[in-house]
Amino acid sequence: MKNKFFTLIAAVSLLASCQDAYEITQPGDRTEESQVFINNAEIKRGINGLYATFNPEAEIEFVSYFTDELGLGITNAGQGVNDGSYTFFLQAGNSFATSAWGTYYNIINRGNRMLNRIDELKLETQSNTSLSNSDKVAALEALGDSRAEILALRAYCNLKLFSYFTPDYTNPSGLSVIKFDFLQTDNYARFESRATVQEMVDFIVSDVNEALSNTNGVSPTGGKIKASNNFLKTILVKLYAMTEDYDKVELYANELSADYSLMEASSGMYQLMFADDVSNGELIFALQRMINESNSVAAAWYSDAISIDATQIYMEVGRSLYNQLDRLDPSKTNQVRDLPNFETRNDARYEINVLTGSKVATNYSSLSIDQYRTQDVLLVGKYTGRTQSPLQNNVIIFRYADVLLSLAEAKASQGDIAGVEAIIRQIRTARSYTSTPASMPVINSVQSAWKAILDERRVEFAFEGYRYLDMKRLGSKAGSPGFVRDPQDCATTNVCELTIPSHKLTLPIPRTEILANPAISNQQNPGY
Amino acid sequence: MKSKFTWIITLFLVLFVQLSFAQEKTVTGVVTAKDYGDPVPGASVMIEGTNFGVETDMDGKYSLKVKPGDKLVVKFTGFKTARLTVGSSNTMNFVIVEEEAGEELEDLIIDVYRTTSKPKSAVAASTVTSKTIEGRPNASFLQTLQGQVPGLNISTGSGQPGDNNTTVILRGLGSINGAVEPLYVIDGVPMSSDRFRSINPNDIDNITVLKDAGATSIYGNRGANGVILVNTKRASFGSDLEIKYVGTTSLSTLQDNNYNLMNGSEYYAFQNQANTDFPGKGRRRTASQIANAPTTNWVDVFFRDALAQSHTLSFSAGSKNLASFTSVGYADHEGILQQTGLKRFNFRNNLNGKNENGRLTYGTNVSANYSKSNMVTGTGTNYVNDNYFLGAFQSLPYLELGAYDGTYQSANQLVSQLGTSAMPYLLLDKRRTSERWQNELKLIVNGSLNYELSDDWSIGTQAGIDYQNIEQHTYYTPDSWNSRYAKPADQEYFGSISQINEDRMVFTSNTNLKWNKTFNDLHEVKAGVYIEYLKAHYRNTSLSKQGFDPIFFDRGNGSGWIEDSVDNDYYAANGSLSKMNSGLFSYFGTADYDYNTRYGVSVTVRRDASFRFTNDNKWGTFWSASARWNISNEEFMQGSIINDLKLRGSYGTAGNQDIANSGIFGGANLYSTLYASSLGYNAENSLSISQLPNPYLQWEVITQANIGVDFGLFKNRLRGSVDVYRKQTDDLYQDRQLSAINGSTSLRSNFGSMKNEGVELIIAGDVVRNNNTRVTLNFNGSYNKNTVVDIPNEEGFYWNGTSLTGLREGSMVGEYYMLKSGGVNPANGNLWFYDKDGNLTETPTDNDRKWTGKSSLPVYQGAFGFDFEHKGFFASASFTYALDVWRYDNDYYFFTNPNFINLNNQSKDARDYWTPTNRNAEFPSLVASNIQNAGDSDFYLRDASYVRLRYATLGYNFKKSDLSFLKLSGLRVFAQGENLLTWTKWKGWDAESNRGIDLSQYPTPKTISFGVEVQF
Repeated sequence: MKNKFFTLIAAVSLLASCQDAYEITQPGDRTEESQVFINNAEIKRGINGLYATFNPEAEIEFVSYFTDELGLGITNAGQGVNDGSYTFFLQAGNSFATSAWGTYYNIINRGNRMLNRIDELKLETQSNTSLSNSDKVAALEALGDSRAEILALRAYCNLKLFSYFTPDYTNPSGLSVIKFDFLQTDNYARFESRATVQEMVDFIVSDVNEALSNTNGVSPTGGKIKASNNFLKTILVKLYAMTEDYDKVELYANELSADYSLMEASSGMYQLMFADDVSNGELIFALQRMINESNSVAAAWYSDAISIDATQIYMEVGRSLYNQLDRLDPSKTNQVRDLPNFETRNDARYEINVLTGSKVATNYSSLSIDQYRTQDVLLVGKYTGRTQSPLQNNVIIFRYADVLLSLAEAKASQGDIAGVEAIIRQIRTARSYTSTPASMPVINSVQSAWKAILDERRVEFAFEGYRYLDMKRLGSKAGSPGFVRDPQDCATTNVCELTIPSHKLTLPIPRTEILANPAISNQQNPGY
Repeated sequence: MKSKFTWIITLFLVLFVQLSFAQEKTVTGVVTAKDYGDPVPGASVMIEGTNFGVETDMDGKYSLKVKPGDKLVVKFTGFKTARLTVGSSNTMNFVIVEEEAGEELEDLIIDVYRTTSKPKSAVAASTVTSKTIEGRPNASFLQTLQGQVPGLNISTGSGQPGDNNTTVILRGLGSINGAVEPLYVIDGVPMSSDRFRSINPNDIDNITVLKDAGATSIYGNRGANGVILVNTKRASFGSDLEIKYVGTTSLSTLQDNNYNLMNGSEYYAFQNQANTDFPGKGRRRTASQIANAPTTNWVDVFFRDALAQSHTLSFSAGSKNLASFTSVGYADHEGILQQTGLKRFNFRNNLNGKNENGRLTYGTNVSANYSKSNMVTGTGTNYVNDNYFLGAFQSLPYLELGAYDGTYQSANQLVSQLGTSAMPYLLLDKRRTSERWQNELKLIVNGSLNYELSDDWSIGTQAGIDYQNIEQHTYYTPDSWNSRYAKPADQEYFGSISQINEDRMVFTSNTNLKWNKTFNDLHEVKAGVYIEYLKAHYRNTSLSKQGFDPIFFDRGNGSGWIEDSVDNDYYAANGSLSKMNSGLFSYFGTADYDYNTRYGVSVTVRRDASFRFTNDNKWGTFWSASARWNISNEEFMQGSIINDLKLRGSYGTAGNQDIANSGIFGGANLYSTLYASSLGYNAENSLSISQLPNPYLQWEVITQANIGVDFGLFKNRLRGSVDVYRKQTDDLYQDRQLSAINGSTSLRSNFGSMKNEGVELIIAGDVVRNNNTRVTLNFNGSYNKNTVVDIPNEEGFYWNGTSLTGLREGSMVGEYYMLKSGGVNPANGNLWFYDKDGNLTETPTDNDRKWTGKSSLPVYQGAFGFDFEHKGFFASASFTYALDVWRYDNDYYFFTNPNFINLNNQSKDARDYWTPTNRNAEFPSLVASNIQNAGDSDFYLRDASYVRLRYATLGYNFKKSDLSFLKLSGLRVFAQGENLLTWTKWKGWDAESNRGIDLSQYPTPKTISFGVEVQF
């Protein structure tokens, strides 16, 4: 009996003493880069993941609230007001500053890992004796293409970081952002301080140049929804416009002019650009959105539909922007929106930005605030949504009009006010239904030329996420007072303007970075 | 093994020889009964461990030859056994106490591994018996436990019957991000979660809460936050069949609030006044509109008086070698929110058996429970089409119930008319068209086997399974407003279903070898070695789909399924499958030594491996030592008014392997880099990194020192215990901020420490105790000071930039970090705040935030009450309290923020807003420019301290003689109240919550119940 019992107990404890209780691998875990990025095809999937991480919708949302583009919507329930974004409240914990900083560095981190992996794969390919020489060349070329595409995306991330977090673009020794050109895996104690403006410019330019010099350039088959050589050149145009290196702006703008032209409103091609036309002749780069993805650009302003029938309309076109759109066609200024006759206004940007179904009160300024709210309902119409996914559209990142207006800046800097006028005329002509612009700004001095450029950008790029940085770059030159809301749009919030110069036109280094990174902790941007 | 003990045995032999030559003497004494002081004739007085003894004579007197150090044991049927050790005195009188039902167990501290008599226990532990638990109208026993044990902070965050949203924290937070709740062990089976809605509280025999390291380190890998042992009822051998029925019926209602909300007329008048003062705010209302405004009480629309009933029938019987306890229970608890509730069916069988000589014993516990919970979604959110509580509490009072006619069209029309204010109608539509319920099957099965190899050695094994299956169903009918909201306009079919099926199985086994020997009746030595093994598996499958044909749609299944088509992904069903495994392994040993129930020491050493860690960190070693001195058993204490006095001390460590607070399965491989494949850009597949590694992860280690005193005075009429502890958690798993170049801005890692220091007191006194009447007053309370010792950055504090709370070295976890409100600027009606230099400002920045020294965990908490018995009548009451608790009142924010005028109901307090003629106002101008800062200020941080009449009982226990004609052996009837009264400054519906910030949550109700207990 006793012996049997011992045997039983021994059997039970043996059963129990197995290592399987603590040596456990969870199903499906892959823990090494080499298990995942096995070859160039998988690197391409990795690059696909980089594109998926961009979030321009957040940028458009922030810029529309934090400038003079919006007014409170008819069914606003505290959006923009309770978080202070509509009242120019900006602190180091700001969610857009935090997410932009985090997102772009996240993409660069993953890009750098893949660049490293590409180097490893190149070595593997070269030492692979079972490959024929021509196969080797082809394989190395394919890896080179991937490398060029990653560099292009890294340059774009750096351009964005540079533009939002650099206080002064034109001071080469001033502080910019972290130069992140190395492999970073799990050495969490590595801390980088901010590089200078010059170092960042050189970094971006070198990435762009290396990508351009790749045998096949960048993504020759990617179309306009992937990085391309022209995407790279546009990065340079934008970068040099910030650093006021206008010769180079001119150089690259002229190169781009060979491949693009402004789309005309009269043919309807201009309007199609905002309705997901990915082969549009004016489009340089747009991020493609699919209906099963969650990013929805118009969710910033509407709850469920881009329509007067939306359950909630958080925000509307700000009256000060509306008035500027309204004045584009002086013959129709201060009329109600006559629907659905698109010929009504001779500048298509009015219809594009002010949605069909909007209610316009021509006497809005004399209305009581209650009447104003219900009788003057100006709906944001830039994006039109999709049947299957009502708030969603592709998001335009670069288009040719931006390049042209950068060229205009180059002209203004040279005092060539006629050149500026010519470009603005070119744009207004394209946007007009007839062969002549409905109106032209008066340009009789360099400052008025800058002002004309800033004003044109305001109506041309409304709700495309440009206004905030445009004011930072051009506001003083144009003699602009800054962001100014119509008094009716700030009657209940009491905050009507953000005057310039203002430290709030540069985003704060996010609080999370300041806390985490001792090398940067005393390098916060001024004013925060 | 044997050789190790040789020297100990030799030592004892020496002592034995010395003592056996000690002088014999004769002691005499009287045995009396405690309550009346009458002498007890016929009681046996024995020398413990021998056959020597005498019976008392007619006067209760005895005379016996003894040696000093002998222990005399007095036994008399119906009374508790009394013991005294022979000292220098020749007179030894005994006072014996009548036994009460259910009281025997209080004398034992039983944990999974050891059984110790209370005097010989050196640990801090509190036991609650079935007497306290039985018949209370709570769906979960955790709520019943509230206020019963000092240092055990139980806060319930939901009034959903049987909800597992109850936080149980013993002796302060032991972790910041890791698990903070104790380990629950039911009949020896460690539970995988704290979900107890399927357990019938009436089956519970006793609950023991183990608090100090001496008690918990034996549970090494999961015992760091304390251990709660639940033992269910068992039958005893050789007992007749006993059938018992316990039934309760109860009525629950919503508790009151202090928000001072407006009715329809008041709201109209408020809107009109607001519009007059600040055009653009409020709304124009005519005098007659104001006078005739309708009022709907939305609370009454969404809540109800909830009925509940519970029935438990149990059978208990034992033959010579087999004892069986069987119980069957059914309960139906309605929730006070309409549509919510819990129905439960329980079955339990506990079986014990032994062989003829009693050396082989075995037992099995089988418990099968099935419950159906009807619950709601959206609780605590600000989604006006989802959170019923928002609809009940915040809807505009002048909206009329009849405006919604119960169709989609009606709801949609109201939305276009009213926007978000159509909230109550959307929620009525949701109630009409949607449900969520969970079916849970829980099986707890375990078996144990013990064999005494000899008088000293025994060997045993125990194995158990905790199996849980939860099936969750949610649906929206095709004509539901929610199912059509934000959906593509060109769709023809709406409605949705989703189903989740989750299986979890945890297998635990424990095998042990024990040795136990008493030398010379004075030295008792116990030792044991153990191996424990745990393996757990989890499987989850889910399915969701939208688009159903309304003709065929049926609630909770797939009828009317519309197939996905190539050009329309809207109808595509989504599914997922996941699987996880986890495991723990440990071996450990214990040793206890007792000298004559006067001194004792215990030692535990345990080595643990967890699947969560890697390399050197996989194994952790934990240990504890405890000692006691039973002062009252010393000679010099004989005859003093102190009849029981014991000093205890313990020191030791325990580990917390659930550092991510993700249950037994989550956070399985935080030490690895992980990659994932997902849908990427342009509908193509992508690959990317999904987790940064932390290869240095390790156990959180809690080191605890405890000193305690147990005492009984005046023949135990006054009794209680005091404990002082210091508990330090090292290698805390905390957020470490990362530079964004790492691809993420934070990663948790083991860094820094935190401590909890506190005092606990439990005391009870029998103010009156005689033949007919007993009045006992009781109090328990605790004070706990929580301090964060180290934060992983140079600044010594951590705040994420948006949260209302932060962490600071030298202060408590979850301390509110906010702007200090400075009232309203009389000049312009903007809000004023104190800046960092203490000056008033209208434009505060993050740098002006201040540490408030306040958190949502109470510093003081406990309970007090009384028990009263008189000739079969009994009454008891228990008041619980929590002091120095601060919570953010997000409901009040909505009730007073001027941006919500016209959108939701407002507090009458909000009428005191600034105008040029009311400059000294509590609330700002309706158009103040800095309203966005209000939410970040301490204005909405409210004192949530409370004293609550947690429960009160009144009942009658029929005498056996009165019941003879009914042929019953026992009958008890009682009425109870739960949460009857609350004294608090908190304005909301429930002062108690386990959250620091509350918006429209499910309040716990006030309950009145009636019960009956019948024994056949």
